[in-house]
Amino acid sequence: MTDSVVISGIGVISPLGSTLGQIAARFCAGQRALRPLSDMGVDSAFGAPLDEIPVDVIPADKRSRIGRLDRLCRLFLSAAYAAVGAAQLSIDDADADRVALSFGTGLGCLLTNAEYNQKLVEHGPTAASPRLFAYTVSSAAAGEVSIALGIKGANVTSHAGLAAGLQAIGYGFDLIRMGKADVVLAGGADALGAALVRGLADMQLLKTRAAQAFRSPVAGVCPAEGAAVVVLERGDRALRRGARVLARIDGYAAGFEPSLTQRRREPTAIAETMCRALALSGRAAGDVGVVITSAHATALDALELAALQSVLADSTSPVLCAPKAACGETFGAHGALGVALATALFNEPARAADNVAFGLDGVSLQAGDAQNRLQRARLALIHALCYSGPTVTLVLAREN
Amino acid sequence: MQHSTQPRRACITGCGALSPIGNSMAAFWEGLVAGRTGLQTIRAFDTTGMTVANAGEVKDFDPQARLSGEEVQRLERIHQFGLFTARQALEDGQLDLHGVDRSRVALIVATSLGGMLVGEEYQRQKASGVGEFDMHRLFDFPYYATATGLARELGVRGPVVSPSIACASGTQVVGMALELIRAGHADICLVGGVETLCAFVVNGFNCLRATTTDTVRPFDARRSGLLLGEGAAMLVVEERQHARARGARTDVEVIGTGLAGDATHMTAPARDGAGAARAMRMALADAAVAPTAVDFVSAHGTGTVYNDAMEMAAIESVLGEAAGRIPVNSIKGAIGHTLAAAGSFEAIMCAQILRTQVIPATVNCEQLDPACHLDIIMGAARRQPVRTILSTSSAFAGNNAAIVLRCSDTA
Repeated sequence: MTDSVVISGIGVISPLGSTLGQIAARFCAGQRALRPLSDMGVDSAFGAPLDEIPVDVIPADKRSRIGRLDRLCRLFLSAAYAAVGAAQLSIDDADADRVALSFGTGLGCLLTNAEYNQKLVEHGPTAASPRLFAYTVSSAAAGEVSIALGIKGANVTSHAGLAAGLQAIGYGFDLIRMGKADVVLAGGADALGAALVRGLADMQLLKTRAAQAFRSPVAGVCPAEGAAVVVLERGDRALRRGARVLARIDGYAAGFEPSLTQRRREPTAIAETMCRALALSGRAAGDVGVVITSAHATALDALELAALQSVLADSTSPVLCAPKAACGETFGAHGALGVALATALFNEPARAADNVAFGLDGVSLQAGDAQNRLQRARLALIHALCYSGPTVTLVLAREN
Repeated sequence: MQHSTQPRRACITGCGALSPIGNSMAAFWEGLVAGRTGLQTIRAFDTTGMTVANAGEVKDFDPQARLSGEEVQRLERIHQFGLFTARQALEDGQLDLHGVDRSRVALIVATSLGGMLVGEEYQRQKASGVGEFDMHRLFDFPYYATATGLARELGVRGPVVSPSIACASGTQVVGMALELIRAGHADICLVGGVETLCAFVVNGFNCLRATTTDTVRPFDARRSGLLLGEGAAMLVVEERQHARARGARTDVEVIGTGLAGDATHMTAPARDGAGAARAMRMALADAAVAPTAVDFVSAHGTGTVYNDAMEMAAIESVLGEAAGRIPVNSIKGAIGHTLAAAGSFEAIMCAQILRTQVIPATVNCEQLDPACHLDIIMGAARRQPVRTILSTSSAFAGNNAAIVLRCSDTA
């Protein structure tokens, strides 16, 4: 087993911004990216679609394929290029098979599936589009990234619902620890579009009124989109090539809480998984200074809080952050964006405002208190929880 | 990570199959050995206007053989397939999940289509406005719902994930089980692939002109394309000491896994087979097995011109001079291309080969491609000693996966 796995670069595309500095500053300032979704065919619902997916990070000679890519592919491709650029990583033929991809997505190619199938429904088999069908596999995005960057190692896309991105980063961590790769581009993404929003509306899963994390649950989501890709690297390799180390992953664990869709919900497996992640990392619960939670002002917030209270009982002053309050439900991207946010909070000085961070009692911290606690934090738990059961916890350590 | 002086090893302790040639592991195996094919005209949905309308459908599926009436009523067809087959595998492994720590049980289920039948029905109803559609059913539409739905039914509390590397997923999940066990994340992994045939995917492969109006003929000179299939294949992959402690069989071991990308094209394989070869070499290296020690290769063998040519080149390059002496087969002529389930069906076949020392033939391969220098098993099943097996799969987006299985030693 390799001793350490570090993050040497992050690419992020989120409703809060596309740099670590932006997301830290806007999150700490208490900004909200949510807006009405009337342009997607629903009234009285809110979400956070991206105005545009930045492509300027993609080299000009690689942009010729962008026009044929679906939104999920564009998100992953842009975030991957941004991560590789931030890490100042070069991938050449000599080591291309030691570089791997591990992507997670909650909804995958749902938008392309819907577009492809709509043509079949309307016009029959002759309307089947080879161009669209090629992108009806969720692994298409990772395939596009591998082609663009010349990556020839393991190339894995995973679905784990809203925990997919964090699970993918955990799997990337394992690939390096087990000696299967030296570098892994790992992360999560999900794309928002009219077909998804209409489906959520049909399922009555769109929040129609304001709610506050941990305090006032309202069923449903404020749908959003985004992507975050991290460059995971063996610590000694990063050191040798003089890379800037942004954070270190100390451990992770994945679990499943089967009661989440039942009347009587329990936090048992959520807490078990958090404990397992800490145990595998060799770190004590008392060391945890920041938790990036999955809270989205739903009934699941109380379960997550109960699990954290039981696991972090020995921690004196952890700060609980609820990024979904600021940027909506980013589905499978959430955990990866959480890793980006925690890394940003470790590395980017930002003044915290009221109502962006919570104590272990679920009550909002005052700005000064939150600021002091965040500055002291050396260890973060990133937690992703899916309504259907998957729960993943990753332990992230400050490196500087 | 769990640290131990002994590396953790993984054994296949149970198998379940629901296939176009039989609805149990025994029937699936018997059909393979007998050289039966389950390919025929699609009956489950209207194929009007489709250029190719043959496929391998599951026949005479009786969910009530393993599911309660309430489960049959509540569960979508894909969940019925998954639960039915998972219970077979657990029974075959004599494993009662209520008797083990379920936080140490992982569930890894691959699917390329997931709840697509639900999605098709939803869009049809929305377009026509005719009839009613229970919107609650859309919870079963996302890919991950196939795995999470099964995890809920079984009460699993360990890692639950649905890998998606398209047609190589069924092999990848077996390799992932080995990785989860080695890394200490789980003691038991219930893994496999589940697919239900639908118009969405048949039209897709038809429009790519990847399907055949003849039949599937892997490695045959006349091969002209693939036919799709459906079904479920589930395996219990278990940490060896854990299996031994409960008296389960540990005679077949998963010892290596490899994944590699072509990085060349979204839907076509790299012509030289370099990606597939890399995955095979990685798996052999992971298993610490020399290519010359391989006794049998389970090929992806879809029956398309380019896939099979690519695989011939890849297998030859990996096995070197020994390539012509090592038997190879493909089961796509028997059950069709079952997409994300394909590699798991093949893993079950490999386990059975190691247990019985009988290798099924490649159904419909009658006139071997003159360019093929491999020992493709044709005609009838062959009995010969097999101790180590390499199984390989390839997929859209340039994904390749390989695993190595062997008869376990007694140490």
